[in-house]
Amino acid sequence: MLVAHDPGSCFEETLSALGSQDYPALTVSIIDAASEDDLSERAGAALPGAFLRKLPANRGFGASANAVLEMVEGADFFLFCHDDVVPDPDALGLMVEEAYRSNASIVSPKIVAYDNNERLLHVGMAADKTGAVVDRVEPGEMDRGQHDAVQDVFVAPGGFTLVRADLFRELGGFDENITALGEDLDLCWKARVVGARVVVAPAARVRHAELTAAGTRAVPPAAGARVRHGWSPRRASRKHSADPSLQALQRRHEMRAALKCYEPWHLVRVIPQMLLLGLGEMAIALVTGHTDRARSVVGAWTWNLARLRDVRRERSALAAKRVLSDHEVRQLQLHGSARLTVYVRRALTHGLHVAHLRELSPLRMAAPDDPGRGQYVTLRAVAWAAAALVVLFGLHQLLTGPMPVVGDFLPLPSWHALLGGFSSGFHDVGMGSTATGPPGAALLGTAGLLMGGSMGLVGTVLVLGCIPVGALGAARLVRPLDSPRARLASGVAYLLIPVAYNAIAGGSLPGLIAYAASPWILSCLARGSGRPPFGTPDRTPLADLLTATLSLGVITAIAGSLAPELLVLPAVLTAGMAAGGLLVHGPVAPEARTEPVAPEARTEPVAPEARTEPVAPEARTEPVAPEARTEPRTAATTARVLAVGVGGTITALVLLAPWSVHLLSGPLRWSLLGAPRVDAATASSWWNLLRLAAGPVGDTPLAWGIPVAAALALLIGSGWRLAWASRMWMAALACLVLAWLGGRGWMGPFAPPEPVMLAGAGAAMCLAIGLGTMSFEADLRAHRFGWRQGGALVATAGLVLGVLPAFGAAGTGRFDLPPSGYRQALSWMDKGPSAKGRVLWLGDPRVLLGTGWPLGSGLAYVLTSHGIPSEAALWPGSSPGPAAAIASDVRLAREGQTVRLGRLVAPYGVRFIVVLRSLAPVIPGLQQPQSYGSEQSLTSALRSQEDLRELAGELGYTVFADPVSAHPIPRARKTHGSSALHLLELWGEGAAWLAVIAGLVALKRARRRSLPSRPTGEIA
Amino acid sequence: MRRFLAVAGVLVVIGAAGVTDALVSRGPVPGSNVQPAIAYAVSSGAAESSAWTCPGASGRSGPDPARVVMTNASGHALDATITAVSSGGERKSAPLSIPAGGQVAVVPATMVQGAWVGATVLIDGGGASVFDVAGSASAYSVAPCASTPSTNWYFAGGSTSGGRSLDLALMDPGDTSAVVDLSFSTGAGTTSPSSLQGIMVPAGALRVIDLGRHLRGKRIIATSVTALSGTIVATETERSGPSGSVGMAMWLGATAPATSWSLPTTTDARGSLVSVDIYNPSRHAARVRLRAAAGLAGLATFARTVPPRSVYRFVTTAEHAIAFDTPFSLEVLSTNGVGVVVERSVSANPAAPVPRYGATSAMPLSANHWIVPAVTPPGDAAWSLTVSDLAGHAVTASVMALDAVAGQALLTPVPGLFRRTVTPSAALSTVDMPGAPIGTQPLEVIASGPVAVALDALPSGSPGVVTMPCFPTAQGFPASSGAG
Repeated sequence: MLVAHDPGSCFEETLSALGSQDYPALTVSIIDAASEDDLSERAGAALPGAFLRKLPANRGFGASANAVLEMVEGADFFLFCHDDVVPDPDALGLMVEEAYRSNASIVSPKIVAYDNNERLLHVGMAADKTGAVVDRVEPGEMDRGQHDAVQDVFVAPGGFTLVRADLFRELGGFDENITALGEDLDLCWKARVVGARVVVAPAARVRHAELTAAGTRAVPPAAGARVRHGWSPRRASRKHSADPSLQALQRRHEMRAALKCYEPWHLVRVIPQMLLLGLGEMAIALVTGHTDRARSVVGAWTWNLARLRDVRRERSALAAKRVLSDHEVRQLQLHGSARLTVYVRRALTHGLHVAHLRELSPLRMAAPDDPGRGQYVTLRAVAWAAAALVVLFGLHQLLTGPMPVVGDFLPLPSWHALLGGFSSGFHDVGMGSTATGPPGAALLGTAGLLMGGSMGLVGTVLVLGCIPVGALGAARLVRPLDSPRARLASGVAYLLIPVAYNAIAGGSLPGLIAYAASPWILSCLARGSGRPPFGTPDRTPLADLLTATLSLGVITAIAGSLAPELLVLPAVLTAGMAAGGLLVHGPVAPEARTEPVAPEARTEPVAPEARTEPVAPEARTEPVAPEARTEPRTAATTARVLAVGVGGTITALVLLAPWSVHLLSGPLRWSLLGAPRVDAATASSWWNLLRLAAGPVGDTPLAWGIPVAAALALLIGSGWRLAWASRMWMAALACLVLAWLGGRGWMGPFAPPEPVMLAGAGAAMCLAIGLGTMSFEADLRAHRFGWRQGGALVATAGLVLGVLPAFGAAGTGRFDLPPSGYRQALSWMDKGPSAKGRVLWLGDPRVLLGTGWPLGSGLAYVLTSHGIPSEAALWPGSSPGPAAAIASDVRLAREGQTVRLGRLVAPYGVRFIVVLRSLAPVIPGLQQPQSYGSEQSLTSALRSQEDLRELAGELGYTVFADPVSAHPIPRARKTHGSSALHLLELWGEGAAWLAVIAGLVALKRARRRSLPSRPTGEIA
Repeated sequence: MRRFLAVAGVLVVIGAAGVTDALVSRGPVPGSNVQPAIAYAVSSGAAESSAWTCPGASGRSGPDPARVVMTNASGHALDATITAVSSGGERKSAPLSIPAGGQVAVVPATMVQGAWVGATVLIDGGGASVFDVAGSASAYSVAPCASTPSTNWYFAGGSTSGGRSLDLALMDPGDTSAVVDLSFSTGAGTTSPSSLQGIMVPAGALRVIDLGRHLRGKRIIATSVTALSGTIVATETERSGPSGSVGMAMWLGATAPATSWSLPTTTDARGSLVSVDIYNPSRHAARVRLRAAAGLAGLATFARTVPPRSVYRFVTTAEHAIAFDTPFSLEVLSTNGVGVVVERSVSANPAAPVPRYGATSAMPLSANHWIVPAVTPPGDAAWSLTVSDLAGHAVTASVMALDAVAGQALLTPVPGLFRRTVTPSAALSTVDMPGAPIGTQPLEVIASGPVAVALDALPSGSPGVVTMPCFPTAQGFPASSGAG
């Protein structure tokens, strides 16, 4: 039975081959599944003796092939084949022979490529417990006789399958609900259940073009659906978007087969596993942006759940014929999850991008065309694994234990308190504020709700999750670099530079969030520039610019809602990139003549079955004409970068409005957009900043390796590599210079926090490292052996040495974050009578709990209604309100202008004044946290106060009690009129977010539509 | 060209920032001089409040009840509360008002009973100085009170030999009880008697310790007072002769060692014994240089090494390079950065009139603006004012009289003492200006550079027997104070 539907040019060859079979008792029946053209003439010409039956509609291979049940009587075997197979003359005979010899009910031949009969496609197939099918041969594997033994297989792949007629009738034929991709699995599984044997007879060889699986030919539609073919652009239609892709079809049919063929007991065990695997796959797909894969996973469930009645009927029918138990059938299946195994193997050997590749058969691996590639990808996998292990080991104590309350790592209240506080219009900071609540509270509250109210987990995820997010961002940033080595160098460098770990050691949440966000911000700026490799010259429509701008706005808004200090980071990076771009304005050097193509077309390995697809024109490498070698678009590029940077920042401010408006209108806006100034004597030196070592981690000469490695691209790069290296270096230097100037106190009240600026600089430098690697690969060959090669060697050594400090710091298991914070030491403040009364926290901004308001050079203050600061201290706002009076009184005491501070602050209900000297309590023998000494004069001044009583304190902090304070705590009051306004503000904020996200989604869809679509065979 | 520009741009930024970072000072490390060695600076007139602590002297029935004298150099009258505290625990407060430009004296011993009586003065404002005058006509001493308590106090001198008594008064002016440890360096080494560890000084209380009972017959005793909790004020009182009949010295300790000390005026009277005690409380040896400047008589410089945790006595009268009966200013500098504490003691010629013994602490700081109180000691003492130049170059100094007119404080130049040039080798002294209103009315010294100012009682006893450092004002400190 040859099922044909709009057969290709090999149809005649197929018929001829069937006619040439040496098996004498072959009768060929052609089932025309509603082909557009009449096949009778073609069939008649190629195989005059064949029967032809035309079906009114194409309901898939299985349904079409089932016509044999009506058409044929008395046959011993049915041979089901596609219209694009070319069997060897002896293929059928050998298969029949094997059927008798092995007493097999289903026999499959060795299937080879249509255009190369030495390249194997299938020699039978295997399946796991969930029905996921996997090939027994490697993609591109050549036939050297290694699979020439007759074997039992679980699945005889469709295309050319010999089935015993009585078995076929017993099983009721193919499942007609399976239109394509899965009917072979279903038939063979059922055959197994009824005790039949399925074998592969490799002696029989068949060439198969696999037009349907390759997507060259449309898949038969489901009932009522319209078919759309190949190259035409996708139309924006909701109906189209709901029709399944090949991947979706395969998923649903695999699941259907599993649901039908398991006994109830086994089904109960397998379904949860399928669910778990599906959830995991969906999560990974969503994170990596492969929404179609996620939809396929979900669609498989919904499709099958919608057909449960049918499934039950089929199950009953099969159960009546069952011969083998599931346990016996399972013996023939693969252990574990084939899909998961292949994913992990593919990720390790080819990289995550290939692992996430969307393909017809998700378990087909891309053919490596570089003989040495396998070894290299193993080395790359080892490098990534080592880096990840270092990080995990370095954080293992934090992963398994509680997070100490130090710095910005503050305890979070319940999720409903966070959401309630955000929506109530009252912000418990300082003396209480009726300004708009910070969006960060809403974000954390929502996260707490999603995590089942476990706010401790939210805090841990917030802190530690920044590292994988940053690493993911770095991987995304460097993805356009067409060099696995470059991507590896950049990614590993970013994962192991000390920036994030110093932020952990210092309890700096803005530093960690900046580490997470910086590569994403850079990625938006780079893509918005339109310059290769991040953008495509001459193809940067306004939509791309808008996409980059809105993406940057969303990322900055999310990061800025948690740490307002990040709101300036895009502007700084933008300015640096613009300056770097201007530096490299000028004609391109001759050796950089060839511009590489858009990377998204080059880096995706082509699945073997898709090799016949023509390449989209814009994906070809085009040599640049000499007259086009100048950089006529430098000004335009700079303008684009500036537009994205400025636009993104403005978008972020709009998304965060009205909180951002409140932040920018307060008197301390510059202090809050930066950070309270630290004492210049204790700020990091320029050289420490340059090597990104502004903390205990990486404070060794080895840290110089990172900037040394990053310098390579400047020295040997050319073309776009040099241009981007210049941009990245200037972006990094812009961040570092600002951090240095702010630390010196030369920027007035605006002092960008070092950890935030270092994160931006680190991301830029790590991209420069990748560019240096690319320069080594691409530009060095144009030069004779000389200093350039030596420089490359030095840069490589620098990179290796530069990441070593992270290894050392990982030994503590917590990257030097003190084990014990202030919660244990000062928990008494939250209990009993001590809990009534405000607490004034004073200290160096780097050791203070939360983000304080500036008190003077090197000092800041936080005012809490009682006890340890909570998350509200992370977003104090730029207007301290009445709390500013308390600060003035403290300044008086510090300057020796009063000895009655207790009496001065008593009206504000301040019961305790805590001076923090170090990041955490000093516990001899256990922890010696960082301290800066900025508070010593303050402590002396407080001790001079006549009316403050110093309580017995521990090392690292001093507590003064104000016995005079007995006043009720004055609080800001919410007025009635503010509630309605606040609600309006919340609605407006929500609307802005929806508008921007909707805009982004629309722009991305529009971009996808503007690209020529591949012949996916998706149903329209 | 592109590469050149890119590399050059990067290098220029890195180089410029690096050079600037190296050349431009970051300022002092916080906490390096946070504890001023001087504890009697006067706060500005705009201060909200200020407080002074006077550990005092013996009670009413004792040999030398102290008188607390408050001078108001601000432009307005100041309300204050004086609280007398006895060593027996009795406390009593009384309000008072200090007129602008004027002085008020109170004898705390009249308010409470006790073997020892001290006082705290809480002033509603700033710009006022407070000092103690204790003793009798035959033996008295003048010492500033402390404007700030401290956790550490150091005394370089003191003796319990030759019949001398030495008392250490510890007063806790704040609301936090203090626990104090004492350690001593004598000629025989360092000692920390267990009975003098963990001394409890309750909040607002006064404790007096007779060091002679624990350290008998010690020729020289340097003392370190460390408050493990709370803050205190510490003074030492040394009496020479039966009941202090020969002389008494009362002086406030230093709150921190310093690398630079000044004694504006010292005179090696013939037959007297003038010694400068240099105490090194640290663990490192201190290399010090003593520089004596005596105007036209030139300079004499001496280099000495003070071992760790020990005290060195430099006897100026034994140095031939320093002429007798010639006033000279003395600077003590630690050349290797190790802080020391310096005090001077003077034992006059036995033939000289009483008082014949006194001690004073050197001044570790210099300032541009000083308050000189009016001092009315027992007896008919006259005072001389000495202004010594610590700027390293000539400065101009003016002595202004503080007059109270219609409730306001007015500054009037003192004739002959207005815009006088002072050089490092020639201090400004009013010894030869008997008509100058020194010690009889409050004065202010305003200089164009850092100077040190001291009052010396004349002609009672020998010069230097009764000396009182004057009061630098907080706003008059130069940027680098040399403390620590």
